[in-house]
Amino acid sequence: MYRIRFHGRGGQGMKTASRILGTAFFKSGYEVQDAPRYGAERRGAPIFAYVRADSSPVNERGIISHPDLVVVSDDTLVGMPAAGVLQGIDEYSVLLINSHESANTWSERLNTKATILILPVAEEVEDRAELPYIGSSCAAASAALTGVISRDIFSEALSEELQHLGDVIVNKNMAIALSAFDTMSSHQGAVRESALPSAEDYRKPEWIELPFDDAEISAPAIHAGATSVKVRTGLWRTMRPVIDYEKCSGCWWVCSTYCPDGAINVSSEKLPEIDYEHCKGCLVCVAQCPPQAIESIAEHVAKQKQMTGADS
Amino acid sequence: MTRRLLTGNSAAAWGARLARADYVPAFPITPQTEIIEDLSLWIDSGEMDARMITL
Repeated sequence: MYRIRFHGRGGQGMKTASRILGTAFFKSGYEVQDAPRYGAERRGAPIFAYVRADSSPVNERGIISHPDLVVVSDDTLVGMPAAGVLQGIDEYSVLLINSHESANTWSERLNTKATILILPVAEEVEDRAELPYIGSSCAAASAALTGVISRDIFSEALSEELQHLGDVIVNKNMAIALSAFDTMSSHQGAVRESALPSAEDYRKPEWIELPFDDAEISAPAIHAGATSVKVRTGLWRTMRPVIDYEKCSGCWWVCSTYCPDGAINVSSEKLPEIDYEHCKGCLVCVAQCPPQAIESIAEHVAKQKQMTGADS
Repeated sequence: MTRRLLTGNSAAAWGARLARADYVPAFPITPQTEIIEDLSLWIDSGEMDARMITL
């Protein structure tokens, strides 16, 4: 059975990527299951989607804890524990990352025996939640890596899944996706089917610790007040608002009131301070600040600056 | 026989259609809106003989 896990951010089209890949497998004669993890589909938030494909009916359910292929559309997710990109990866897994950096860099950084392949970044954009066509590229690259989906069948699946968006969008996605398919075709078959659990050496599935949500904040019933503080929604941010205190006129009540998440606090000096643990990067404050003292910068640029020690 | 890949929602809609449901009191909300979308399309095109009431 092929077990493929997609990681992206809400808005990048990874749920669609899993659908396209699922349909392509199906058209290639496989039994297929594909599903996003429900509940997290918010712009910028870490998104998960799973595809299983097998020659016999797929009875396995739930999240994929031991993937044969992990596809990451945004490399900022790799270092984020809540995104769980590295969960269950071993030397048989293939990790496909959309990144500017090389496979060697990632291998060293992650110290993993998994095969790492890079899907080159086609086009960098400021707001990564809007990375264009990345879902289609990821679907195409994964299809090529399995080696069992032909270019034609993949094209058919992509047109079918995107046809409701109109010909122009289908054609653009197609061109970019097929070039990703061709880029990966030298690695055809890199992803191998892993065995079904056999009766002989069957081990009961282990309890999986999902790293990010305590029951207190993820359970449907809320048993305590102010638990939203514990949900680090700052992870969803693809754009970061930054206050320029030289320009700030001190009208703290404007930005702190407009912030839909209450993520702008007011210091004892009556200056607004953005709480980056919780700011989702909606940029309402940037639009509302009367002296236009709040600037938005891309989160990946801000992180880069922090790492290299430059002024942010 | 043709093979088609369905979403879970679409499969549920097909279930209702094949069971010849004749009354659809619908309250669409995520995650099941697509069930109602499918049913309403079929009812509208006459493929399914049922009455749709939105609640």
